[in-house]
Order: sequence, then C-alpha cells, then structure tokens
Amino acid sequence: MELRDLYQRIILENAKKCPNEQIQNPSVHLHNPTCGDDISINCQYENSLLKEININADGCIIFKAATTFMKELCINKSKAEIEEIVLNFSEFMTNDKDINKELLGDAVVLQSVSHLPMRIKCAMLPFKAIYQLVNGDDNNR
Amino acid sequence: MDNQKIRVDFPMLIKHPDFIYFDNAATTQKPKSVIDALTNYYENDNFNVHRSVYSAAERTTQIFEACREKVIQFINAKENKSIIFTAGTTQSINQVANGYYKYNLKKDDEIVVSIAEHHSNLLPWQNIAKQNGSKLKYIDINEDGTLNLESAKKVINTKTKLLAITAVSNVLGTINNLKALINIAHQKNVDVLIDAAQAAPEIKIDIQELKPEWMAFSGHKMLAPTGIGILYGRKDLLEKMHPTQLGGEMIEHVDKNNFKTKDIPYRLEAGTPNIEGVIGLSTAIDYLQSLGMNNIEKYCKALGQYLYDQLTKIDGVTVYGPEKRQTGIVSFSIDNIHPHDAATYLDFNNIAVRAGQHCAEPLTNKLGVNATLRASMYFYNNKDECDKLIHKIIEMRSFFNGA
Ligand SMILES: Cc1ncc(COP(=O)(O)O)c(C=O)c1O
Repeated sequence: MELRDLYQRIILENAKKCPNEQIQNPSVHLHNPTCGDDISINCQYENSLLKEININADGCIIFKAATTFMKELCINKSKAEIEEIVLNFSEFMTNDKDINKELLGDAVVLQSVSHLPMRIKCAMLPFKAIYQLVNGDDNNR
Repeated sequence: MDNQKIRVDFPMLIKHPDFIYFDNAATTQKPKSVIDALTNYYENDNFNVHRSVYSAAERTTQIFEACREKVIQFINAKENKSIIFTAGTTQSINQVANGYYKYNLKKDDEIVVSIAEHHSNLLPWQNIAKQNGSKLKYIDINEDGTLNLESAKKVINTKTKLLAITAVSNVLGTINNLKALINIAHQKNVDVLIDAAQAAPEIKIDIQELKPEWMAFSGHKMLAPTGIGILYGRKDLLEKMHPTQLGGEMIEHVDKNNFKTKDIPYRLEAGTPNIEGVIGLSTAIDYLQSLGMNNIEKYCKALGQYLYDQLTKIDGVTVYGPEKRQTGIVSFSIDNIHPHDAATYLDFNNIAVRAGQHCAEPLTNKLGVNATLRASMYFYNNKDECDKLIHKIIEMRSFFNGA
C-alpha cells in the first residue's frame, strides 16, 4: 500500500468538508483518548427517518473524512438502515469480503485504512457515534 | 561519544539500518550485552532465588543481590537494602500510594503534583486523595513550559504531606529543579517522591545529594528489559510501608492464622521476582556507566537542541517547551496536519515517532492541543537522523496541503 492510497484526493477533500457545527447538548459525544479525535452529534427525526444530523467533529484526516461520509450515508435513513450501514462498514474495516459495498457509497475509498490496525478506530468513531445515537441513551454509556 | 561505534552495540539498529527510532521515551532499544546477559542467565543460572540450598541456586541468589547493590550504587543511595524491585515506575508509585500514604494521609492533608505529570504519577494520587479525603494540588508551568517555582512555593504549605513530581517531563523534555523543589518541600516537612522514569536513562541522580523520600524508575527506558522497575525508599519509611502483595518469599514463618514478615526489602517483594529483569537491569547500568551518565546527558541535550533548532526553522511548526533544551525529548505540532496523520506519514517513511497525549492529558489540555508529535532521542540517535526527519516533515506539508 502507498501513502496515496490512504490519503487519496477524495479523502482529503471530504476531510475538509467535515461538519463542524455548534452543538449545545449532544446526544452522543465520543472521544478517542489516544489521539484526541472528538465527535459530538445530534439529530432530528421525521417519520422515523433521520431528517437532520448535526455534528461537531475534529481530529485526523481519516476520522474527518469518515465523518463526512457517515453523514452523507445516514441522512434520511431509518434506524434499521443505519444499523445495517454501520455493521457493513465495521466489517469492511475488518476486511470481511462478505459485505454490501453499495450501502457504503463513497466511504469505500477508506479501504486502505483496514490495513492499518492503529487507524481503524479513527474511521470507526463517527459510525460508532451514529450507532449509539439511533440506539438511544441506554447505549450511550 | 562515538555514535557510530555505539550503534554497533545495538542489534536492532544494525539489523534495521533504514529505520529511525525516535520513541525512546516510550522504551529504549537493548544493547548486545543486555541481550547476552539474559541468554547467559537462561543457559547457566536459571534457578530461583532465596529459597534453595543447592549451590547453583545460591550462586543465582548472590548474583541477584549483587544487582541490588549495583542499583543502589547507581543512584548513590547510602543504605543498602533501600530499594525494592518492582515491575516498573507505575507499580513503584502505586506501591507507595497504597502501601504507605493510604495509611498516613488524613482528611484535609494535601498532596502536591505538577500539571506536567505522567498519568502514572497522577492517578494513584487522585485515587488516594479521594479515598482518604485529602486534597490534590497542582504546581503550574511557566509560559515556556518550565516548572513555575513560585507556584510551587505557594502551593506547598503546612497541610502538604507529599510532593510527587517528575524529574523530567516526558512531553516537554524539561528537567525540573529537584534541588530547589526538595528544599521547598523539606522546609515544610513535606515528603518528596521523584518520578525518575525519564530521568534515570539520561541524567545522574544522586540520592545522597537530593535526599528525596522516594524515587521510582523503569528498567525498560534505560536499556534493560520490560517488567523490571525500582522503588527507592528512605529506610525508615520502607520499614513502615505495608506490603501490597502477600505470599511466598516475604515471610519469616506462617501458622494457620498468622504470618510474620521478613525485614525489608524482602517483606515488600512477595513472590518469585523478575530475576532475568534484575540481571538485565544491572547489565544495562554497566553499559550506561561505561559511557558515563554525564556524557549521555550532554549528548542527548545537544541532540535535542539540534532538532529544536531545525524544527523551529520550518514555517508552521510549533515546538513545545523552552528554547534552551535540556534533554533529547522534543514535542511539536505542524499547522494543518493532525499529529496522527503526520505520524502515519513518517511511519511509511520508516521513522517512528509518537503521536497523541503521551499519557499526560492534563498537560496537553494546558498546552491547548488535542495531541502532539513527540520525537524522543537517546544517545544512539544522531544528527543525520534528525535531518532525515526534518526533510520528511517539509515533504509532508506539500503531500497533505498541496495534493
Ligand atoms: C514520566 C513518566 N512517568 C512514568 C512512566 C510510566 O512508566 P512505566 O510504564 O514503565 O511504568 C512513564 C512512561 O512513559 C513516564 O514517562
């Protein structure tokens, strides 16, 4: 693997688009203590779909790009759909062949991250956050 | 010190000539002499200590106790038996907290630490403070990262019972003025614990000169194996310390309901010790002393200064800590590149640096950053390696920003 596979143009661009909104009382706040990646997240449902997702995130490129992808993938989806996305992404990161790549959209460009165990948690953090969000408070802690 | 000659003593450096290892504050590489000492131990001297009558085991016991004397001489402690073998700095400090201060701190007594402590010299005190109703107070740092002695004078008062402080910051690379700090503490009858995890590898520490009550350090950060560490304690305090582990090796006799312990240090060293670790540590001390601690200190300081000077020449690089460097530890950050991405970039280029909070979260918060990069160099590193790092940092900026 080359560095450019890990840091493709599309990843750098999406990292720049990482949402950074002011959030008062986040439903979920996750923090990676080893590197400082940090995400706060809120949402609004309409007819059981996630109509709006508000995110404040800061961290490394991999994390920020994954956050942008996650938001794109999860907007207007139901809880069940989001859970499926997250499970697929998680298996994608652990290199499971048997996944539905279509569910992952542009996030498939993060494939190289799966070869770097130390960085998988950077890509996983936003997906973990949305998973906890749709599963309500009992999973928040 | 002839760097090229020294490097030959380290098999890792010879076997991996293109690899630049700049994470020595995490752990150091081992010289051939230490590796050989472990092999020799397993081939010839692998017997348990302090328990068997046969002569082979007795020989190992003697070697083991001679190592204890070697360590005592390394830190220039006066009294023999004034150190105990532990698993490392973390265990040493926890043992002091849970075996001594747990029984000697009252409600409203105060423990003083600095804002720059490693979590290993912070969490045990947070815990004891909570359990005993004592208070934890912090000495601040100056703008340039050096310890603020005025703050120390203010924070340490008649309620203070212990000052627990690092000799060298594992993030800023600063050497604290231990003499002044211990002086301030002792004037108020305050005990002092020195966390020497980063100091023992690089600077000479003289117990008789400084007279701290306690000192802790780790073998693996000073060329020895992992899993061996030292706790020095003033003898009368060690005698009052409660063992935190009970079991074999530490007792005089046992009946169905009671036991009577041996004298120190054995009372505080329950179970079969890390014999290979102790032998490795003693061999590591021989190596360090053959180079001379003063030479090591001078070399690392000069190398730290060199890297600092080169780094500060690059636009958009911030280096933490004072302009005048004291050790080979240099923490920095690069504008618009997250430390984690920078460390991965360097990793792909065969350079090992640390990225993160370096187990000192209150300090990184104080510096106002989420994470930093840290290059920590030892006497086997050199300017050539620094130049390569600098080159890669410059290259990295166009990789991430110009892509
Ligand atoms: C200043 C300081 N104290 C304590 C420790 C903990 O040492 P160990 O992990 O060997 O117990 C370290 C290690 O990084 C350190 O740098």
